[in-house]
Amino acid sequence: MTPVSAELDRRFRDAAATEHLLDVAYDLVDTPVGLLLVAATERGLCRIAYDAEPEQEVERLAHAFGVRVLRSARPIDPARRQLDEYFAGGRPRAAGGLQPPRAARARARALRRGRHLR
Amino acid sequence: MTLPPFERFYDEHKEEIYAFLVRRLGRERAEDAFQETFLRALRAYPKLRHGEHLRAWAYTIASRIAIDEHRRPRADADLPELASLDGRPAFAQLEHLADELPPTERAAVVLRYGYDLDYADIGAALGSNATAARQAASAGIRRLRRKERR
Repeated sequence: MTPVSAELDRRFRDAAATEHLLDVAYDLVDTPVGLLLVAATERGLCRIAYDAEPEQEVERLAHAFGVRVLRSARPIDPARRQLDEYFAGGRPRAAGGLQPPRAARARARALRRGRHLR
Repeated sequence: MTLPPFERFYDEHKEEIYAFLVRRLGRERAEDAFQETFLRALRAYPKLRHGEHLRAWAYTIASRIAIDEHRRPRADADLPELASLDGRPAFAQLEHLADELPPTERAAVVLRYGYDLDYADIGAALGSNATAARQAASAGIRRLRRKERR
């Protein structure tokens, strides 16, 4: 059986986001403090979860934002860039219209100061 | 059964739907059909009322797209048209007719006679096997005949 190639899989996930068919997209983002699960709706960033269990998190996202939840890298790219800037110590820009919610901003500030996540 | 998040539906069915499309269309055309299948599923997904028969539903969408792909004119192939009595494709005539059948029989009848799938594929779509699919299709046909006589 020919498996679905990574390229074909990525193409579908990109197209789903480009055609505005998702209630919420998410991806795992590698950061100096570990893997973060970052989720965004068309309105902007909606969740950053540290040490998340993806399956449970996907259920939670579906419950909160709608069943069309899909892992898709493209909608998360602006947030990924912002997080890179946070961790590089620079000031985050409001890239791609994504503005982290207050709690996420506070969490990122705490991370930069080296405090523990709660 | 509640509708699972789309990610789970996609993850559970992508491999077998792709394999099915490769069998029907060949690898090159299967890629576009695969993307179209899941985009179409994604568009319709919020309208589903429950999470039952999702596998058969995915196969139904994939079959429909495979048929559309076959119909598309190609320079290198001369494909026969699907049999149609009144200008409507076979699956469109059947879907309405089979509306009142129990879900498994309905899926088996529509996939067999409307989409021309073989029993092994239908068995896979229904989560059973070729023998069970054949039995479901003939039970469905018998039920339709009885209904027609009434």
